[in-house]
This record gives sequence, structure tokens and C-alpha cells, in this order.
Amino acid sequence: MATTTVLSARSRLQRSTSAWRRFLQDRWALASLVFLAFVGLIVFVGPSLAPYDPLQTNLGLRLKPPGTPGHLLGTDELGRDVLSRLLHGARPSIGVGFAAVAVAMAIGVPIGLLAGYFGGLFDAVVSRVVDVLLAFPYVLLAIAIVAALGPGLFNAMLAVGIAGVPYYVRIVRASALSLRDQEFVQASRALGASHARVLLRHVFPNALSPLIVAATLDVGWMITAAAGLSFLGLGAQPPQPEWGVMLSDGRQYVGVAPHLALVPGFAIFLVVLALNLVGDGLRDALDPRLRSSR
Amino acid sequence: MLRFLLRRVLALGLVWLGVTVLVFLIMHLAPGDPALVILGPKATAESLERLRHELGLDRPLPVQYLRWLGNVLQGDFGRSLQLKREVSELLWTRFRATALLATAATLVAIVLGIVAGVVSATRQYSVWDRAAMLLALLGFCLPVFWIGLILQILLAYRLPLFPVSGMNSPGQSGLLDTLHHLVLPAVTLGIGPAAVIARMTRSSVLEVIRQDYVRTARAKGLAERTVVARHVLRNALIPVITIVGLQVGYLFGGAVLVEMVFSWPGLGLLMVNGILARDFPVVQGAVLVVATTYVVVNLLVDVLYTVVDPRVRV
Repeated sequence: MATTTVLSARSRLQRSTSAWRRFLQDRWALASLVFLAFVGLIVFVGPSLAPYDPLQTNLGLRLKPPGTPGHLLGTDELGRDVLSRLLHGARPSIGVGFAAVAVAMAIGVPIGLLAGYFGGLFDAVVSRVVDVLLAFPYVLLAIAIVAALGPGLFNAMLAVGIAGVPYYVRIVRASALSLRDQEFVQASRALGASHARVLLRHVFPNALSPLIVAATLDVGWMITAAAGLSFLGLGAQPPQPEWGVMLSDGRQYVGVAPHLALVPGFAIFLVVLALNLVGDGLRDALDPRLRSSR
Repeated sequence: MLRFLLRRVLALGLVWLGVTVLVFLIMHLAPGDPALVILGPKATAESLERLRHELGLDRPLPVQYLRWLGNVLQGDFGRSLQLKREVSELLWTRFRATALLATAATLVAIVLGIVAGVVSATRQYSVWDRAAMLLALLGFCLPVFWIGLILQILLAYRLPLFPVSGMNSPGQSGLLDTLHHLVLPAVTLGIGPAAVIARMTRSSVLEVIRQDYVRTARAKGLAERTVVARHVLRNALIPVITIVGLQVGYLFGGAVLVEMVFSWPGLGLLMVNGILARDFPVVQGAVLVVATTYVVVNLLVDVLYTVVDPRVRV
């Protein structure tokens, strides 16, 4: 027992170092990771770097274009500094994506593991419910859930996360289903390990690769989806500096002050792009057979 | 074939029933009392009670669900609390607008996606290939509402080639006018799916192009163009159909955001306004219609798939 644990731990370590090496060879993924580290820094210290209070209005300085002295990215329709709002907005705008993925995984992973591993009636019920949830386009499901919970940033996060649950159930269920009949899992059972131990020590760790890749890509989607809900007026509410709200506010002024819509949208785009490149890089590194065409 | 079809219809019918349960439950879990929305904050407890009874809101949930489902199956979605009109009327006009937008966007996505995918696969590793795949990556990551705003800024404000928003110019209702209004929303909505289709087409063509029968076709002296059109595409596009089907779901979801940007009078706009006004019958109806459309489109894709690829029919 002890030897098998040591062996499997060592092979897992070897596998993860070679995956890491493959990841480092992907220049785009690496550059994106560096960029995301920078973005992460802004999420934490951004508000203290902001030159102005993001809520401070100045009607004498309305709709100033980028490059205006003292306002690098210009001002909005109430004379608020766009750069300050962008820096303050990073935390809610990006945090919402990570929180939503955490919600989706916290609900979806255990359900998927149990359904795939045990099968039977529970699996049948779970699979039918997942079928029903997948009959809704993702954004529509998120909107419907927000309709039930009521508008707001926290509710938008919950809605986007819950709408993602069926995808996680499906990914993890598929992994668990294929793992439960493998020899090392059977062997562990034969040696007297409990179901809980087998699930946590053998099934779950081996189902992680596709999960990590999906989660990385989904953080980007969920950031976009949450910004979309804010854009529709169903997520974060004005005057909170959140990128979707900034886009929604700026929409009415695209004719005279396009920077109000361009700046926050570009920020969302860059973060999502970087997350996608890292996600693609991770997929190639963790499972070279699935190498993407880029 | 008939048996396969029946099985699919039956399975999707069950899924659809599940969808109706979910839509019903979501709206009933929603905070806010429909009676209060109708009568306003000054209503007396007595009149609220009476209206709740009239609306059947004091019945057990399963009874309410069955009554609602029965009405829906007869095309009765109730009355809008805010607009004081039959929801079914609203849904029908709005559905046509969304369907027009989604169909146009699907065409944009298929044409752009397949052309980009084929060009990039037949010229693998060339500048064209790299450019097409870079564009696909960008199209994949751009938030749809932001694409809309950019196109609006560039092609409606800076270069006034297209109208900024709406479905018709004031006082006009001609087809040409509608098509003119349709261009920007359709392109906006089609870009994301086009990117997905382009990637899928590329990898699918690359796989097929290395097959023996393609080499045979070349060896017997066919022009490259004929080989690609007759032998490669026919087989390479089969998996693309599935992707297109999946993207239609995305299109109906993304349409909400695009309708918001361009004030396109579709179901999405109706739904969002309904949510903000707590107009439950409208929201319920709109969500159900979109989900139903998605289910039906998926069925059609399944059927189409068996027609083009009889191997899956077993």
C-alpha cells in the first residue's frame, strides 16, 4: 500500500514537471501568464494607485477625451476619472469570474463525481436534470436565474456560476465514469479502501486535468457573462465602478465620447484573451494529444 | 430512420417538459408578489387577497404549474402586468425580430467561418493561415456587446454607412430598410460563432485532406479546387454541422446583448425590460420561447446530421 502511494506520488510529480516544462515552451501562454500576474497585482493594489476617487463627479470636466491633462484616459459623462474607475473596477469585474467558477465547481464537481462513480438512480436523475439545464443557452439561463434572484453584482455572480454547474457535472461525471473501472481504482477497493477514500485519493486527482483547463477558460467566459449582465442592468449597479456598468453608462455617449465604451471593453477583452491563451497552453501541456490548432 | 426520429422527438419532449418546470419554478421563486405589481403599493390587503385568488396564486404549486402549462400549450401566456397586453401577441412580434437577427447571424457565421477555416487549412502554416487563426482567436475572446459598440462607433457614427439602432427608420417599414438595419447587429452576433466554426473547419479539413481517397482524387488528375469542393469539404463539414447547431444556442443567448446595443426590438430586449419591471408573465414567456427554439433547433441539427452522415443512425 505504502509503496503504491509513493510510486503514484512520484509519477504524478514527474508528470506535472514535464507538463510545466511543456507549458513554459508556449510563448503566448507564458506571456499571458505574466500579463495576468500584472492584472492580479492591479486587482489587489489598483484602488490605491487610482489618482482620483472613482465616484467623485466634476461637471465642469465632462466627457473629456483620453490624454486630457490630469486624466490619462479622459472623463465620463459625470466628469469622473476613467482611469480611476478602471483601476477600482478591476476587483469586482475580474473577481466575479473567479468567484463564479468557484461556485460552479463547488456544486458541480461533487455531484459529477458521485454520479459518475456510483451510477444508478442518482446518476440517472442528475443526468436528466443536466439535460434540462443544457437545453437553455448559457446566457439565457444566467439571465433567468438573475431574474429570480433580483439584479445586483452578487446575484449576477451566483447566476453566472449556477448556470455553469451542468458543464462541470458533465466533465467530472465523464472522468469519474471512465476512472471507476480502471485497475488501480479497483485494486484500491480490493485492498479495502472506503468509497470516500477511493473518490478523494484516486478518482478526483485523476479527473483534475480537464477540470483545471475548463476552469481557466471559464473564468474568462464568466467575467464576460457577468459584465454582460451588468451591461443589461441586471448585474452590478451604477455608480459602482465595474467594467460592465462603465460600458453600459458609456453606451449612450458612443457618438461623442467613444473612449467611455472602448476602454472598459478593451480591458475585459485583454483579460479574457490572456485567460484563453493560458487555458489553451494548459490543455496542450496537460494533455498533448488534444493540442489545439493555433 | 422513422424510429430514430421518434426516439429523438420523445427524448427532447421530455427535456422540454423539464424546461417548462424550471421556467415556472424560477419565476415563482422570484421575490415580489405579482398581485402587488399589478395593484401597486397602495393596494389593501383585502384586494390583494382577492386578486391572488383570481390569479390562482393561492393554489398549491403543482396545480398552478399544470394550469399554466395547459394554457401555454394552447398559446396563452397570460397578460403582461406592465404593458397590459396579451403576452402571446408580444412574444410573436418579438420572436420574429429575434429569429431574423439570429438567422442572419447564423449565415454570417457559417460563411465567414467556413471560408476562413478552409483557406487556413488548405494553406497550412502560411500567412493566410496565421492571420485567419489570429482573427478567430480575437473573435472568440471579444465580448459580443463590445464588438457591437465598436461597429456602431466605426460604421454608424464615424462613417455613417449604417443606422445606429432600431429595426426600421421612422415612418418606414420596407424590407430593404430592415435589411440595412440588420447588417451591424447580424455581423456583431455572428463573429463569435464564426470564430468557433473557423477553428473547427480548419482542424476537420486538415484531418480529411490527409486521407487516401483525397490522394486518389489528386492522383487521377482532378484540379485542386475540385478535390477540395467535392471530396474534402463533403466529409470535413459533417462535424461542423454539430458545431453550428451548438452555436445557435449561443446566438439566442448572445442576441439579448446585441439587441440591447442596437435597440433591436427582439425577445431579449423584451425579457430584460420584463425583469427590470418585474413583469413575470412576459419574462416567463420569453425565456420559454427562447429555450423551446433552442430545443427544436437541436432536434433539426440531429436530423440533418443523420441525413448527411447515415453512419450515426445505428
